[in-house]
Amino acid sequence: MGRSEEPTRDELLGLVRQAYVSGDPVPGGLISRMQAAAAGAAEESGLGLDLELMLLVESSSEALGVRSTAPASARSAYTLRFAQSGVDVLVRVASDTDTTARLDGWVVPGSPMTVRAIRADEVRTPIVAVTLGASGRFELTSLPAGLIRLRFEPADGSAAFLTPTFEI
Amino acid sequence: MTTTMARPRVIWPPIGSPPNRRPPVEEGTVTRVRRGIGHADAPATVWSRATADFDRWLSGDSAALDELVATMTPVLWQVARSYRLSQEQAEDVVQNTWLTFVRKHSSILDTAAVGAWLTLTTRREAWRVAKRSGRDVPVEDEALESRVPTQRSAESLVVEGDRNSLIWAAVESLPERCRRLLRVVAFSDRPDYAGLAEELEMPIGSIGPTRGRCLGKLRDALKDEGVS
Repeated sequence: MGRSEEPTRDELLGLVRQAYVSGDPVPGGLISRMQAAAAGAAEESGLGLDLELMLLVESSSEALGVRSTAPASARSAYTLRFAQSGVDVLVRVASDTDTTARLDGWVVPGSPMTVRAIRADEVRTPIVAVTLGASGRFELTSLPAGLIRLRFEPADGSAAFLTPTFEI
Repeated sequence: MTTTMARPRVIWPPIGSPPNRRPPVEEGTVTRVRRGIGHADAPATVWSRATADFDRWLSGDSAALDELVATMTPVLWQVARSYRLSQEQAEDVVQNTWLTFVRKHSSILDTAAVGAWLTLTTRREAWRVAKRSGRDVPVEDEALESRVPTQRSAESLVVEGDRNSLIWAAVESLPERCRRLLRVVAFSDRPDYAGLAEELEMPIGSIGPTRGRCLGKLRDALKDEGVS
């Protein structure tokens, strides 16, 4: 807080927080009770440790024989297929620009779900997410080049699927 | 594969932006005093920590759910208690928020929004519970212009330190509506005015001016208490 000036709006709100954090603190044990509740719910929905890890079952390059003079996009397109527990995912990866990639995918059987591209480097941050309908088709564009994994979260709350790491 | 699809939303900042790392919270590595995870930190700070926790959970680190709960529960507690709920009611509300989160986390496409989502879910649920239990009787500002310090609640007995109790006294001296509005605003960054207007039974256009007036009153009260 400034020496002589009046406290700013943010400083005042900070004091309000300070007042309530010390005056009406979180009851003892609340955090661990909430952790237990959330973990229990996650276990029930098959989240957490039961995440289904997909296997890479096929990979192929579409651009065999393309000369090195061809555009980068043609050089680097390839297709991957992942499978686990009766779910199949086909993914085509192609360069978008020099530093980004696009990804077209198809989940079989199709059902409403959220698809997230997750960085597989140290940051481990989801980079994009889309929802897809019963068609099972999805598209992720402008993905920064690097290592990613795809995470599929069925809308019905059943266990999520996670692909192995692959490079885009 | 060119059928109609939802347009993806890019939520990761462009290449070159600093990585969103969890700040160190271990003892001995911080240079300023920390009360504990998520306590009196500004909502934006807490929310970016929550985003990092959520991100790690999504990438398969199941322990990160515990960390997310530890990061956000103190904030959600404050939000729930803004609605004049008892401790038991507030705890139920916060627990409901976490159960809803686990069930519906897939609907949060932008992981940077997880803090806002949790806060809003808590607010709406707290408001519903408050309404059901008849604690939502709006109180006219006139009747509450000044609350005398002797009306301080038992909660003030647990405050630590002189300065904290002076700040508490200043906050407590504000009219009910001010305390409620400032408490929600202080713990939820920029809450939506439409929701707040409904919850506080005020016209939407008066939320901003009321907040300004309440901050002014707090400034004066702090001066009276000799805090600033």
